[in-house]
Amino acid sequence: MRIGRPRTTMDPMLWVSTTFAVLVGSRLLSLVIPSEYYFTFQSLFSDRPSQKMVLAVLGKMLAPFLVGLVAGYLLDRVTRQIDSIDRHATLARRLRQRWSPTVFLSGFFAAFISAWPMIVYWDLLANPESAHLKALFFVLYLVYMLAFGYVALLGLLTTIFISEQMRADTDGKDRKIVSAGELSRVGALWLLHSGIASVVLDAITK
Amino acid sequence: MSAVRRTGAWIWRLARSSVAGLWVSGPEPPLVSPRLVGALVVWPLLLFAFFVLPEVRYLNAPPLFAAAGQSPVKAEQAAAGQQVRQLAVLAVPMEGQATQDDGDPAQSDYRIQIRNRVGTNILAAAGYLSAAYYVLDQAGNPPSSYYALRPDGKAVDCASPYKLVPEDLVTDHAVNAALAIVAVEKFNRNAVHRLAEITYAKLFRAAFGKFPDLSFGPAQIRLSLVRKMAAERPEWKKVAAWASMSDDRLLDMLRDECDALKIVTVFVLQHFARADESNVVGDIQTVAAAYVGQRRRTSALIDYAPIVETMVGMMEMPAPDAQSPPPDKQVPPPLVVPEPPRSDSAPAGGSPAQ
Repeated sequence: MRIGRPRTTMDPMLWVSTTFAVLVGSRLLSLVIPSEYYFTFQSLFSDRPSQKMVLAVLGKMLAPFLVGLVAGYLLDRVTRQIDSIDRHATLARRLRQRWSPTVFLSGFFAAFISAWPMIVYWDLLANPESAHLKALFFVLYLVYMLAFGYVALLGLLTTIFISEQMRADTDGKDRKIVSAGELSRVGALWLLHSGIASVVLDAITK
Repeated sequence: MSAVRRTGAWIWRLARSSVAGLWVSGPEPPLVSPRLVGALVVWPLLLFAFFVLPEVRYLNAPPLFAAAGQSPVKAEQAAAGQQVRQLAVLAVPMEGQATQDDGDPAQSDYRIQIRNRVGTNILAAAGYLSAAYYVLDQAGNPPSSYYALRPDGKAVDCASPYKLVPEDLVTDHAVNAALAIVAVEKFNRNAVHRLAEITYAKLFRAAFGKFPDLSFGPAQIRLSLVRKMAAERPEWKKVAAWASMSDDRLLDMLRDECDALKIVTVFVLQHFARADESNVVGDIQTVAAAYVGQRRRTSALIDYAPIVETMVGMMEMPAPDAQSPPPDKQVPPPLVVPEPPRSDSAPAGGSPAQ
């Protein structure tokens, strides 16, 4: 019998799929959404930053959120097909130990891959007006990457929360894997990270 | 069997078993599941496919979601009773003649912006600027902008070879070209790279008795090129004297940033004087391409010769304070030009070659 904290593991298949899905989604959104409502990590430092920062950030975060939603839907569906004695416990264990950290890291690494060219070529491509703020911008990049992770996780938890709410009527059970409090906590962390990064960025690029 | 062959065979067996482990499912589960391998192939291909899709470019596209009153197209300009709305026109180049900028002012502006930015960063990193300005002209649609750079006086003094060539030949254009060329070379070969080159050259000479024909110093010039320049213009006596200098003396000159700048200016002046029918006097791209031995022109966004030309153009832009900007032209305060530590032991002014 294992004693102690349950081990957190990664699901490689889920990680690869969600990371690339976020990248593909971001690319599609950048083609569809007008540039004033969407930012790329590169455009943060361009001479013409987005005029509507809040909407642009929301547009950018749409891809990881949608991918989280879809991943949550698929995982919930797959788990529902498991012929287990306690399907509920299986889902709760997998969500806590495996899927949540995997989806969070997928969002984080998708943002990291998106920002990587700019990080490497900062000295060459940065806007000369903000080139001397290299260290500060790298910290902001990191905060945005965390925000990406949280918003992807928010998508995953939202689907499972909604799924549970819809089934609560039919199941009549009161055990919840994702509580409203948990959902609010992740949402607040996402808002906090993206809010801090956006406000600081707005202040220093004015 | 020799040790090398045994090691080679072991590496080969290891690589073969590792690759086989990806695919072959024996009694043991495979190292990486085939589903994961499939995902690692399919997802990147899907991602690349979306990058192959060209972005839709429009001419005369009014800003999306702009309020009717803010639209640059004034319906009230039309005759009474008429309603005029500008339509977005797709920018499609002639078949087989597509270039990056064809009929797309926004794309052309983007290329200029990127080159300006790269050039400014390189010159600032080299320490060759005393001031830099970004000018935004919002009168046009789309708004246009440009950078105006002021070269540092010490660097200009260093790059002006008044005592090497007839004074009337020395122009600001040539000096600016030399500054741009050396700045790019310094950016690509930092002080550590250059120290490694010199160390290698000294070791090479210790082993073989002569320096290798490599490019050295901030300007990355070969000893053979300096001698070739000396032979080309015997009437420039001080330049011609380079031919008889020892390798050590020439190497010292190349390592000295001030001397290196002068040598590059002499190179540029020689090329300006050599312009033929296919070349235009003062064409920076041709000189820059000749300097690095680049034979083929490319249309890459960030390429050596266009960047050097852009840098020279920015240094020759009139400073915003020298002209009276129109009211809709925003001239922000000068950009921050950090003072980088001089990576070379070159003195700030004067030249031992004089």
